[in-house]
Amino acid sequence: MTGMTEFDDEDHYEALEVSRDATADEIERAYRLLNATYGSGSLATYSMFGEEESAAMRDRIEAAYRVLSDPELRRSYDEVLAGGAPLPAASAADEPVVLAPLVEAALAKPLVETRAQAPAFDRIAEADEEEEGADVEWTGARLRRARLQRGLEIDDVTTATKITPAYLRFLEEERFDDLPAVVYVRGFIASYARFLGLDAQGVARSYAARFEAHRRAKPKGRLLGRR
Amino acid sequence: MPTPHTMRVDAPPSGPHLLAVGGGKGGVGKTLLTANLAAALAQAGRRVVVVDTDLEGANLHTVLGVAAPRMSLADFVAKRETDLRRLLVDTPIPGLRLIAGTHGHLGTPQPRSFRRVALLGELRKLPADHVLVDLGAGTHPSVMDYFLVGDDGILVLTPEPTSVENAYSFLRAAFYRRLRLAMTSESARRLVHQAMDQGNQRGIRTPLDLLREIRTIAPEEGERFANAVQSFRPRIVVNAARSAEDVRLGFAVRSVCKKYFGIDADYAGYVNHDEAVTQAIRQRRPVVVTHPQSDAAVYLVRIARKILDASRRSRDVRGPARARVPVGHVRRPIA
Repeated sequence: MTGMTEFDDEDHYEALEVSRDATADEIERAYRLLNATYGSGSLATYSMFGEEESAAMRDRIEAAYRVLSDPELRRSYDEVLAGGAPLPAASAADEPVVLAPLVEAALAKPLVETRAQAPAFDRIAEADEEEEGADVEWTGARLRRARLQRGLEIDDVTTATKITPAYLRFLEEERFDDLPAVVYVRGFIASYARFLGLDAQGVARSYAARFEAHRRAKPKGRLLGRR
Repeated sequence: MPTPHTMRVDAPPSGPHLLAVGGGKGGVGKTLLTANLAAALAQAGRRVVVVDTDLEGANLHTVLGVAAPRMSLADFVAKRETDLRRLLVDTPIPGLRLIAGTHGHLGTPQPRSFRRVALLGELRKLPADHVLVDLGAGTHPSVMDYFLVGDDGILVLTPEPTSVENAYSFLRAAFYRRLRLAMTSESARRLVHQAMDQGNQRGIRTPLDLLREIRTIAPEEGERFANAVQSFRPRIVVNAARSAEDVRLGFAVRSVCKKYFGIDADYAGYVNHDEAVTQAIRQRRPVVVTHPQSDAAVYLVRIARKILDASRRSRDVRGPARARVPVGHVRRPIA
């Protein structure tokens, strides 16, 4: 097989741009990403694909996702692939061959509505030793980088952790004077870090140390401290 | 006639790793990326040369803190100088040298094809581990060829419609030019040429249409076509990202590369919009030097490390060239 397969010849894995041993998480992530990519008005695609083509892509992606996100359907599909049967076309237009029953079953099945919970981590690279290793100092900027690297907006973090966007920004910008007492800050950082898949205690300890050093450096008691 | 394609085949395996930085649109950060990747590689102990091929709007020297040099690439193009090495000037960054693009002839700023072939050959002879070539805007063959003969090509874009559109024009031009060079029969080349005209009468709209047509006239050319497509692996860099959505743009473009062109592009990374970059430009120094702790610098170093790893891998494939810096990762730049 050459590197150029037409997208209606692609198998489900190729359609979702994941490897055959992709985890459920990776499949979920790829699906969201592609859905956004071929959604109408998408910055990345409007100049390359017409509305009809994009819609066909979305259908193709949807069909692939419905099979690969369902452990049972995926298993039977893998068997078909392993059997070396000619790869069936799965775009809505010319389906019929081998997979039709599978695809039909998939399409009949309602989409699970639990997607919003799983964070979509779009990692550029694997965990970066120098950037997120065990002994790095966790600054607000580093947390922000870790968040962006996972493709997450502040609001995503708020949804998952219930920390307000304002506090999250203060944490990232290290506006220590605008933050509450250290015990809260430690808690915020721990849940933020946990959400990012980082070592929550380690990150919280490192950040809290910076926070406390800052507080110590400042004179206590505002009336006396300020001139 | 020698073509850049045959140049690549003949290129000695021991030359420097050649990286071209393009993107179609002006102002997306090609020069900035070139300067910073080069500086990061130099700080990692590599011998680096940067070449400013934008003879009409040269300013790579400025962002590296070098006063406009008297001699430049324009002298090579005008045949006043035959040895590129004599055009090298030092920069304030140890290990990093520059061939500027200043003082170009206003009428015919870009080298004609023969001179271009000579130039591409000379780049391979530069005494360096990495040669980074900063491309001008547009999709003229004189810009494209650097991208195609390089060992690696970076496509820079910003999260704006204009930039994304131009990035695709650039990719399309690079793609078809590469295919044309890979085809051996005149009839196949003609087909590629026709396909480059988006409104062509044969109804060839996409690379896949073209592949089908070429397969019907010559199956062996179809094979070469597929190989040329497979070995074309541009790297995408999103510059001036402000949100996670901007970061995701790189993945989306990578997907379009796959689904439209059939090419496996690599999303090499992104650089966020950062005030430190503006400050660094005012200081006429790369941000990895002036603000090594800034977000932008961290991301730039990360991309540099990726390039470094890739160059080592390709070097391993091409055979050992010389004593190398021991494998490790890019040292954090020190201000």
